[in-house]
Amino acid sequence: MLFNSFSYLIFLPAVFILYWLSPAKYRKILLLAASYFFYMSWKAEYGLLMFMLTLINYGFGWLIDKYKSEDKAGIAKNILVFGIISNLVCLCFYKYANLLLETVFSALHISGKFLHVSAMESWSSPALNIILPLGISFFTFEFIHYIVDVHRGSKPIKNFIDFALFASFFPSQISGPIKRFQDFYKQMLEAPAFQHSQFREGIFLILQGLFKKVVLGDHLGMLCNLGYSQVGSLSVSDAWISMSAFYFQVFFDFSGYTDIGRGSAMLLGYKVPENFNLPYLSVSPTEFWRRWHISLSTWLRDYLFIPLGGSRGGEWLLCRNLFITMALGGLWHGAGWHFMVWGGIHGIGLIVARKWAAFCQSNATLTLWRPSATWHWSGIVYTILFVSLSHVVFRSTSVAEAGVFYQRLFNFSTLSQPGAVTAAYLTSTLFVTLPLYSLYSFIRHKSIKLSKNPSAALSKPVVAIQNYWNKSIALRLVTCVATAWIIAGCAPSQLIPFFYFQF
Amino acid sequence: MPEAPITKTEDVDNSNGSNTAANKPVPNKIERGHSAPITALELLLFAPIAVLILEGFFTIAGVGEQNFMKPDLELGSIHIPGKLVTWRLEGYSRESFSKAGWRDVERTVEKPANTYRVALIGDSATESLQVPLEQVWATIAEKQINQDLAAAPNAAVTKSAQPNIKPPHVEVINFGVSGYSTSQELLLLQKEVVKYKPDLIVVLYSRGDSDESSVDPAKYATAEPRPYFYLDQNNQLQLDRTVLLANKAKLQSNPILEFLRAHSRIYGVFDQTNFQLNLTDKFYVKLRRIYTQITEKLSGTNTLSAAEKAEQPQYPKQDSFKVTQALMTQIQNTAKANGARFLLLTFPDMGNIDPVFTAQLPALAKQGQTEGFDVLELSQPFRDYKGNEQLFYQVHFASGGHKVAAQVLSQYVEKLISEQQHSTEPKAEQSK
Repeated sequence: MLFNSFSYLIFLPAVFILYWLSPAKYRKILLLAASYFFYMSWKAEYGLLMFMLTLINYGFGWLIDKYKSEDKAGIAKNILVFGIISNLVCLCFYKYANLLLETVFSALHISGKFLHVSAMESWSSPALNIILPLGISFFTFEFIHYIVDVHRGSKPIKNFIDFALFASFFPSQISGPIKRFQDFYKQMLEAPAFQHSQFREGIFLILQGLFKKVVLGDHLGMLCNLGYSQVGSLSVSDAWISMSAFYFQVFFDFSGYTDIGRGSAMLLGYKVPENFNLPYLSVSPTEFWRRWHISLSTWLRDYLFIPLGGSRGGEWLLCRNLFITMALGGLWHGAGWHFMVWGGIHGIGLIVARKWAAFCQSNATLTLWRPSATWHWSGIVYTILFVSLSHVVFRSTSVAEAGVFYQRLFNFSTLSQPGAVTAAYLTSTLFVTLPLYSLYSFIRHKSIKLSKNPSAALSKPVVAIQNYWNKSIALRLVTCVATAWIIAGCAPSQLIPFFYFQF
Repeated sequence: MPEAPITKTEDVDNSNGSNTAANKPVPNKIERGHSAPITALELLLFAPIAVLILEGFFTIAGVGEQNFMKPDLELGSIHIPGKLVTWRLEGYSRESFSKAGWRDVERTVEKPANTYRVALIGDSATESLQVPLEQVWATIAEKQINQDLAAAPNAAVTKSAQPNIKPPHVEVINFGVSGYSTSQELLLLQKEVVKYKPDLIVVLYSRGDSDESSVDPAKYATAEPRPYFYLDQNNQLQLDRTVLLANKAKLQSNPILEFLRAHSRIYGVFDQTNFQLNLTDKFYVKLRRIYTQITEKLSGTNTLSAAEKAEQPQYPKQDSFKVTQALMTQIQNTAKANGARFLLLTFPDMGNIDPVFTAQLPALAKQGQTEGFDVLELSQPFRDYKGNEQLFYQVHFASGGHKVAAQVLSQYVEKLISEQQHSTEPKAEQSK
């Protein structure tokens, strides 16, 4: 069941009504049942996989806590290592088995050629017919976080229903955000009560998410697909439009998903972590990763970068750890070596940004220039370019295809040929909806800033409008209906899955 | 990324329009809103403003303009005359239908002097909303034929002693309507097309057309509301309007709905969403069917009257292709009766996509030979196409496909005109 499907439009209100009408003690069971129904509506048998993983990780957590409380730290650590390996093996089997087989057989093939062993040359990789369970990358990371944190001293979740709900909670089940069990468990124990303000916020987040996904992300995705389906013959304008389209597609698609998930959780009284904070306004790759897919970047920081040594051990080790963290983070995204290359590029980007920041601090002229708007906007443009160019590797099916794409980006002999992607952009609804969203985004953030700065000239009218908005059900209702209508009107003719579902 | 903890900035992207930031604790109290009478007044004020804004936005974006059909008790559905259509489902176009309701430029019903009229009849492949009007095969063919005739106005005529005979001006009129079956095409021909006095009637026969022309009486309840034909015991083609009559409540003209269909993009979005969900979402289709059954039972509409039930034809399940062949015969007869020729064009069969359609093509060619109408297959010209342009989108012609179809049609028409000139030349000389 997709968040942008008609089925979800029926499912969510049905769960919402049943949830709040049920006695408080049954709500978690109802939510657990709804979460498994949501997951199993895609592929029923994988519900069992999720259940088994939940069961064994619950067991790992319980055992780790037990042995730690009995001062048997060695056994607890062994269980932790075994637990991490079990989760990673499961992830690797479903996600990377085919990639590993292909790589091994390619290596054998090359070795056969090199060693002139014809039998080795003829070996071909057997393709395993494995369907990637939706959300496995996300919930295995949540399980690893759980057992590691229990080992680090957090109290485990005692009630199995609570633990199962943490793992399967449908608003964040398929593509995160990667939750922290301490935050979520606290909410479960508090048994959230219905709040009008949270309901209102949830509805707005869902509408905002749907707008991002359906009105912007899906249409940008179509442009991008068109461009990447003809990489070899792209004109320079088509190549730049396709590249930019992908940059924004991923953002709108993924942050749209997160908004809908967070909004759905809010309707049920829960809060799941934020995942995006205006990443396109980042002034450096370092800042970009603080604003982009926040729940993953903090996970990588806490469970990979720091265990690798983090910034302890000198500059060289820090750079190494950054690079390894980002390269593995890249591979987490998909079963393809180009994902690892993409992660590696970001690792290098972070190292360069770090060195550059250190250089700027030591340079008096640059230090003077840094507070200026020109510096700020140069940083934004640089970051957008860096991320967009690196995303070419991410979106391409191979590093070789990415190479061709880079050539097309700078093939200025095709400057006079607008091409199919440009034509598709001009005839899509994006030429109206993108400026509309930008305007909405600008006004919203300006008004939030102004409302927090009473001395600003426009602060009073902005606060008055906000107060009116908060009081007027009619205005909110009309706005919601109108937004829903725009979403329906601009929706593509086919239901398009979320981009991060493949990860 | 991992060097510093995530810091929350003030302007969090995922907050909504209110001044309550997503990460702040929300007080558990109901904010006092406006009273009920004020809310009602506000609704009266805001709703029309929202309607105006939405209509304006949709007009600029070209949204809600994909609905261009209105129900019709005779034909099932017809184009809304003059409707501005923005088509994005496959390809792109943004143009208005003619005042008469055709995907064409404005034409007079009265045929101008020295004009040779070609009437194209068919479904969406003829209507061609996937490309702008100037790229539609009907438009290209008309331009091409007139250019060719002007450049060499019938070589036979110019070389003869008749230098003053002007070549006719050719009009290729597009009567294509999305979703039409051959049954509807025959009725459209008899009801509308003959008024234009065409000299040549061209039907583009596509995959799946034969299945839509007849209905299994056991499946009346779920059949599309459109006219169907069947073959009676004497093998005579008969019209079956049962499904149309059963849906008469839906098909009858409703001035409010007609106004909304023609002018409101907000309504267009509603209609378009309903249409798309019907095509793509099984769950929606199931719910919709249940809803329709309940409302029909409650309202008692959409059922046949006693007189209609008495007149309901009784016949077994039909061989749909036999019905299609009988329809072709009827089209040929109608063309003859109106002094026109009939050309059957068949949609290109580019592979073994639909074996039923592949098997039908030789049978239609044979029927044409027997009954005296021409049948041209587009398959070979499409296979022979050497240009760079795309031939098809998903199902319909892309710009390359339109060029090939136009080429085939223009060659045929030019040859036909040339033959007609040849045959009239001796008569002209005799009369001299």
